[in-house]
Amino acid sequence: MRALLAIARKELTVAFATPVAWVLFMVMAFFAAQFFNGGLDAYRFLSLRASQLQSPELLAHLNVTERVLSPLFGSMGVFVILVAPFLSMRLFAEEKRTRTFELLLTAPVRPFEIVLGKYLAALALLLVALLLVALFPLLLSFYSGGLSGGAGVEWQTVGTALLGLFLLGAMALAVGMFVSALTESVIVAALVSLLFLLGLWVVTIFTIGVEGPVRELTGALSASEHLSAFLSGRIEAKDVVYYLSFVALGLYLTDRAVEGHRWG
Amino acid sequence: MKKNVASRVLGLLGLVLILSTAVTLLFGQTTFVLGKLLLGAAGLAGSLALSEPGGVRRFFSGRAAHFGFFTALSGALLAVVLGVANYAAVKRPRTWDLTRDRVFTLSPDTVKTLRALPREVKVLAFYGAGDEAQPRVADLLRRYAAESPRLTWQLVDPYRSPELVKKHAIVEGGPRLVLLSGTEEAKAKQPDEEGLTNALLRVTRTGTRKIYFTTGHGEPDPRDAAERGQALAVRGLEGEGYEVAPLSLLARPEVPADAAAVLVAAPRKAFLAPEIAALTAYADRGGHLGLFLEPEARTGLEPLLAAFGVELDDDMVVDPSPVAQLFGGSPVTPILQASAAHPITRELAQTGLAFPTARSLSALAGKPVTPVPIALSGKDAWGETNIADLFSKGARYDQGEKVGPLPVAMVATRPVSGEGERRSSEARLLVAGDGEFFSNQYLQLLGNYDFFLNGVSWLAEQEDRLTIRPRSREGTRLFLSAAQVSTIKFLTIDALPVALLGLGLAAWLVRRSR
Amino acid sequence: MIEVENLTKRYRDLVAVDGLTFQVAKGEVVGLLGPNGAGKSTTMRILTGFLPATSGTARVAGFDVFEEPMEVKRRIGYLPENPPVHPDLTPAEYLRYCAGLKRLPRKRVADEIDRVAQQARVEGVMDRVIGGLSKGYRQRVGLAQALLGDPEVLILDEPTVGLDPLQIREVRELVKSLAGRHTVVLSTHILPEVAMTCQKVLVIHQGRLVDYDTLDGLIQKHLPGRKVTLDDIAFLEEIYAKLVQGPAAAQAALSAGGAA
Repeated sequence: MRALLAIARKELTVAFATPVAWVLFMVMAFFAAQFFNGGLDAYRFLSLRASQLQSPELLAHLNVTERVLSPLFGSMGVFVILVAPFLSMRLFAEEKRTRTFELLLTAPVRPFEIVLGKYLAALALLLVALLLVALFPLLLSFYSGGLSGGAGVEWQTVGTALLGLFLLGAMALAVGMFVSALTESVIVAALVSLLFLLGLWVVTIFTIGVEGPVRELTGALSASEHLSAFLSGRIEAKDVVYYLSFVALGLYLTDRAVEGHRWG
Repeated sequence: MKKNVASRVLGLLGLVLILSTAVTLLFGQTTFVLGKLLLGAAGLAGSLALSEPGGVRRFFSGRAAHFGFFTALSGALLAVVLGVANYAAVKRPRTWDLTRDRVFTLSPDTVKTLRALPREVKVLAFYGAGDEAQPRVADLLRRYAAESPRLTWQLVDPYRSPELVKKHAIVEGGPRLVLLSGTEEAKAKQPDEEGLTNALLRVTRTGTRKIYFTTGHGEPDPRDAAERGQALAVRGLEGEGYEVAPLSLLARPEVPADAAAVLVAAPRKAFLAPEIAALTAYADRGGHLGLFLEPEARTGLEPLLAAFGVELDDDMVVDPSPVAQLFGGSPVTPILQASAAHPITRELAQTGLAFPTARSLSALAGKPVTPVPIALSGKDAWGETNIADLFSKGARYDQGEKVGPLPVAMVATRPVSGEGERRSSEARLLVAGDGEFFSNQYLQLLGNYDFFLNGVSWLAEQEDRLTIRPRSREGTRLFLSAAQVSTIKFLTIDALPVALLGLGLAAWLVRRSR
Repeated sequence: MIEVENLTKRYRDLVAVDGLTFQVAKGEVVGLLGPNGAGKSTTMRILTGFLPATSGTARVAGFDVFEEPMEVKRRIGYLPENPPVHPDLTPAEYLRYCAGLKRLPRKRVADEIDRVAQQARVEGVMDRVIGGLSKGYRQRVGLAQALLGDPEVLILDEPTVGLDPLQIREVRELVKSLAGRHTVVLSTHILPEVAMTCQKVLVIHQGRLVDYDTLDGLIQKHLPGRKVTLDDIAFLEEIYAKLVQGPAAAQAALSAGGAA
């Protein structure tokens, strides 16, 4: 545990000492702001039209969580996929490049401690990025309210959406870390994991217009389809299992890849 | 050395070829798959042949090989275990609906219906991949299927399976969810929880679903595909799972026991006494009658109607309002306003009906049964009594003629009376002052088709019984002044990213300077 | 303390270490001597558990490096050929990280870092970024890391590379001071270093052990009857050349030494 935390702490120190993490955070925040304001404008236009048309039915169903926040979180999914490889690319590849991997492997630390320590640090960075996204519902909650007097922002749905994004990111980081453990080049690590994750993200396009089991298989493999329930305020066991499966497999294979060095 | 490199390259290429056949399988061509596998095997064989003697043995006997073998084995095992876990999670779905308004939780009625399904039900959803509503409908069906192992569902692309579209009589703008159970079939009126659950109730309900059309009084042949025939309406009924049969009361003056409803569609000649007696007896015992009677037709069915408190006016509804004619009607094809209060017409209140040459109806005073009008003409309409001169001299409102809104369709129910076996718990009557609105020529006008199907459903006691309010998130209020909007934009688009960039630069520069 | 038996390391087409057998007793300082590519670094990497041996065994403090790597690693301080320092960290951060890796008790960490920083003479640069330090400082930060936790066995791969003469002397003094309490294996191809710091010399050539003895023993064996002082290093060059290149080269080295 001690060594694990020391590794996590060192990773975080490095991440915040170099501009990489900051730039990634900025990218996340900037695009989130674009989607947020786009959604907000559309919402305002819609509610203006509804009141012009005197349509109480439409007004009664206009919901900021559904119309502004869920689409925002949905758009952030692909940014999580894009950002995660850059958070995970250094984890092992950089250690190998700077020869510091030798220090890790000759210290009295087991491979899984190394893997978990680094993964923990990456998750912490992901969490910071998602907290930045969580600022937007917070901002919105100051201005909106429910028609019957409750809170305007439905925090339950915001919570599940953030959980979904976190699980998606956790999966992406586990995959990225494994790739990073296989190469000495951070660029290769980032690109290969990005390619793989984007492939999983859009895998359903390969079966557009196909029906039956093949379509269902690609649907079950798709990282984006597993996010949709979270975005709408539901937690489905299959989605959680899907993301955690990749986490488990990624962590295990990384552990083996590190252990493999001891075996030649 | 050279040989060694060649061996390694060949081995790698062979391995890539073999592993990538998983993708080739998707193309469904066995020749490609076999070709790649053979080429890959050849590569591996070449690699083996070129490798230095003893190298292979060393490769497979060293510690590294041991480790590689166990890693590959345990990795594959883990992948299999995770795959099984995923499969199980898909097959036995579990969902936690955390939304504040429980938007994704099925109503207790639906859950009860699903848990008590007596037999297998298959739902065909005719939604193509590009359909806007498809994800929502699929999601709904998924939630249904999660509640009951007896419910299965399948998406059908209407453009790819025209034969199914034809078989189940799917039409543009009509219902697109077909429920099949055994030989029964039903359609969900709307692709939402209310429509689906009610269709589920209908498709699993047992009992006769036979609709009889009377014959022998100049009624048009229901199966006739010509303008005057009713083939389209009959196909619609069959699509809903009804059986349609002709009924001649002359041969045997009794309504068969399996009748769910008897329809009298646009007769021109009068019914004979034994026939009327048979229909009256049927109604008394809880039968369900649908009478669609043209103006001027003398049918002799008045006593039957009177027993339900309905009287036929001897007139023709004329509506000079230009609004009516906007929809392609003429003054004698009045546009009718449907009542939102009755299950037959609830969904049609915004649509209206178009009845070509219709007579008006009246409620009789002093009867124990009070009929309910479900379709009314416009305010400007009146009941022209001088029908003979109507088409030659034109219509004019005369003193004493009834003025709109005139009831053109009515329903009435009354309790079972008299002796003998009961047909149902109550007698039902649907009467319309028009017998042509569901003919092939006029069926597609406004809401006529739905009116006919709903009417028959109601008569056959197949109407939707459950009302399930669709759940949605509570509306929110968000009023932003221009100043607030620009504040929000400044904070999010400008201040936040710049602050992050500034922090990053600061952290970096502080480091650099040390 | 260290027992190596029949150690062999084979890369694909190359035998880096070939049947190496030797022992190092507790408290000894042993110098690994050999030309570039002789297998010095490989041997050290195997001893630290970073690389697996193809065959043969190596034991440190009675533990097999392959079977019980954790026990071995706990007892070893290792300075690799390239100091394993993170350029983005400061030495203070880096040493604290290493203390965590070595699981030093939290209370002892600050004192321990102070101690090794002093020993390795890096106190003055503790808060500067390692990436901005000179090669010599980086080397010394790496050395400080190896000393952290006062391990029983120190394995130092060319510890004086990149240092200036004064620093070299300091490191040599340091290594000498470690003798007795610590077992030290250090590799180098700087002969005076061996002469000044090591009690025993292990000469490797093309992966094979060529000779292993005390300095006195080497002198008696290879330069019989010659009287040498340890300050004069020419004799070592002669022995070294004899061992790794054969007699002809030794002769050349001798004449060159004589001319000087």
